[in-house]
Amino acid sequence: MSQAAGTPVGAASIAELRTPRHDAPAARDNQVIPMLAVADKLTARRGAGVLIAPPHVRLAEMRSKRPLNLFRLLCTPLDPLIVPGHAWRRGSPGIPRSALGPLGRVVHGILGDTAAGFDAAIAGHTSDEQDVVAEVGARLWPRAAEILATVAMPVDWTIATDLKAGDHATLVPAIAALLAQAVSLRRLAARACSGVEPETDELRTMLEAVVPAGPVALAMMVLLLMASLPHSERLIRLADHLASRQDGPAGRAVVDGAIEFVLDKLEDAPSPGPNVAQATQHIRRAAIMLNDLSSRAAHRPVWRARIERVRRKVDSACRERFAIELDAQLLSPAAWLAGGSELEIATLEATARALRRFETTARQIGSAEHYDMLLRRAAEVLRPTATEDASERIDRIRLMEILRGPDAALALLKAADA
Amino acid sequence: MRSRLPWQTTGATSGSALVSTPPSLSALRQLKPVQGFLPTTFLERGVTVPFTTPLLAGARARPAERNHLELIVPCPSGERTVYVLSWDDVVPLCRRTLHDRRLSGAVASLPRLTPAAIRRLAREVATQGLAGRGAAAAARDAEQADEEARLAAKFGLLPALVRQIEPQGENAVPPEAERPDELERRAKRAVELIAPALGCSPAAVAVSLQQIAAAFGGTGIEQGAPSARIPATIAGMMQLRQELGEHAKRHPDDDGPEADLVAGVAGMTTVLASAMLADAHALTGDIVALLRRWMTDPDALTTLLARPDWLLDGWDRICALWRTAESHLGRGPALIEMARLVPLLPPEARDWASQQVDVDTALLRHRRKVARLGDWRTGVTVLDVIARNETLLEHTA
Repeated sequence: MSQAAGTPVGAASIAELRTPRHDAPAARDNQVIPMLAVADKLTARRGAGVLIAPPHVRLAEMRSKRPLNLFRLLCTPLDPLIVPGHAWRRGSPGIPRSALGPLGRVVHGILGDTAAGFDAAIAGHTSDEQDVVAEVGARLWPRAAEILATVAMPVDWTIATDLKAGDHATLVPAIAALLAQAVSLRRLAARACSGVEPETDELRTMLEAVVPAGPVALAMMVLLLMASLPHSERLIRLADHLASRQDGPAGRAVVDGAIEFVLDKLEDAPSPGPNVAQATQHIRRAAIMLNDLSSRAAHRPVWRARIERVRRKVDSACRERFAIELDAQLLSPAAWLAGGSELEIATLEATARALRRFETTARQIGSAEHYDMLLRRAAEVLRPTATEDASERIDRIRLMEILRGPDAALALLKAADA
Repeated sequence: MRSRLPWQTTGATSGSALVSTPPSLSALRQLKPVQGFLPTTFLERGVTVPFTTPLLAGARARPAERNHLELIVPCPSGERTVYVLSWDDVVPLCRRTLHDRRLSGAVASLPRLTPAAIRRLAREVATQGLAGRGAAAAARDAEQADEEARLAAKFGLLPALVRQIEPQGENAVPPEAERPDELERRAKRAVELIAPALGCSPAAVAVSLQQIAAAFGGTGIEQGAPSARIPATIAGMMQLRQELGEHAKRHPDDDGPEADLVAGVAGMTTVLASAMLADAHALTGDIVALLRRWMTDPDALTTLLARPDWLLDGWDRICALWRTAESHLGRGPALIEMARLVPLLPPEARDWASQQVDVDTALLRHRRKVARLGDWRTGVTVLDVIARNETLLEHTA
């Protein structure tokens, strides 16, 4: 599963969680799609970046549906690591977006005639077509890894990227090493999705494979694996063990660097808010990540304090966001429940489920009583009225079942039947 | 007073706990699963009840001692084991959806457990709307479709009756080409002609014909009856088998084993079901004999015609899981669930269609996989699974 460029490994910025959605998805898509189409036709990424910056989160949301091209396919395995150029810090395990354009051009140039074959294989497809991404990527990524492992620094590197020559020496071998592992990583992620967690030996093999490319490469691989696995605790232990055997302080600080990257992203700068489903996904990752990191930080008071600070911020943002969304997305529309069409009722039920997903996830971070209180209040608002017909009553009881569970709904049903 | 079971909790529960899965799963794990569950008859295998509570998905009801019922719940961990519970023990085991509480009560009061009876009840409950408006509409549509299938069966029987009874050369127009009102007139005359030979009144023959048509509603009267449910299910399973075969070839390392397993059992089951269907259709080749058989022992014939229904019970859910996989949990988790639900073929099937069936070896080779709820990747919650199960009702009504 690819993540949006600029989206942290398993973390939403607090501002993203706090910001409610105001527009219907379809309307927003209508606005964003033409912009993306223009952006996709632009060859200069800088120009496109300016154009698509305002609806960036919608872009992230829709990224999986964008037309597939060679550059996008090449970068897919690296998505969780990509950060805006201005946000990149030297020595961190992120990849500045500005570096990717020149590297993509290098790969394309050396592929030569072969590039046309790749272009033909992905023509007309979109980046959400996982079979195509996997099939063509399995040919492209190892070849790109070979190319980047030996390529010299492009002459326009510093001008095109605002990076130094030393950054090329650090980043490019690391990217090459990651791309060489992309197929294995993807397979592992797919299996994790279907419930089969990787063996420790598999994880060790993948981590050891990138060690020769330097400590940054190892930290990057840790982050990619974190983004692919349901839990990171075992991975972090393994990476710690591997890092302890590295030469020099940079090698030994690999895991710390990866964790710093994650925590930085959790506290990242403001950006427009995604929809509830996307926010839930981010919270879920944040909750799991915070728990995994907490166990590692048991003997590190400074880290413990920082993790706790992040947790409190995320919790506060979640509470605020839930209260706003509950009212705007469910309770206000439910006032017009009577006479609703089948589609409208189904949409309302889907919204209720999305809010429950958000709440169930957010209470793992904290404030369980607060959510209980809000849900009880919502249930009162949704209580059936005497003037409604049987069908409307059942619609309300179903909403109650989604929000408060079958026991509360049964009590209402009995009261209504009586 | 019943003693408190280990998984029962005391005191108020939070909103989240009201629908959470882990307490139910942990409760189930405290029960002893039945390893190598190999029912010898279809009744022992039980009848699928279309529950929407995730823990009860794919559960089967079967008669127990003293007119009670048992519930056979597939092991949620993905192993080929089951839990056998008394009907009442399900109540503290998990917080059932409102729909399931209604359905469960209705099933418990059934005098006779058959796939047709459960289907009828499930539709009745679904039309109340507790599984959503979509499921209610689908239940009404399915009832209407079955009524049309019964009507089609009736009008399918009439030409065969006329052809067999009407004196040769009496009518130039073949009965199957006749206008409906004229066909009914000729059929009425045929009934009058045959009634004395059957030792009953024409009215009794007409009633028997209606009943036979109803009994043939599921199978249809002849091969290729498109509106009948059994041929449609077989066709759906054959398509499923083909698609799973292609999927297994494309993903040999991922979902291949599950796809192969389901496809293999689907293949065997469709062979058996097609044979039973052909046997049923062959009965209509001699309408007089069919009428005589019906009048002598209607239960025996009803039981015979219900065999494909027993055989295919549970497969509509498996097909629907595959059809809806992309829009819900994805094909990987769907395949794990499908493999878990694949109905065992009891030895009784051999007596029904003289086919050698043994799926157990394949099932034991099946690698255990677990579709995890609550993973950050899938983001699947109990509510999502309930919603998915409600959607399945729309496809299996």
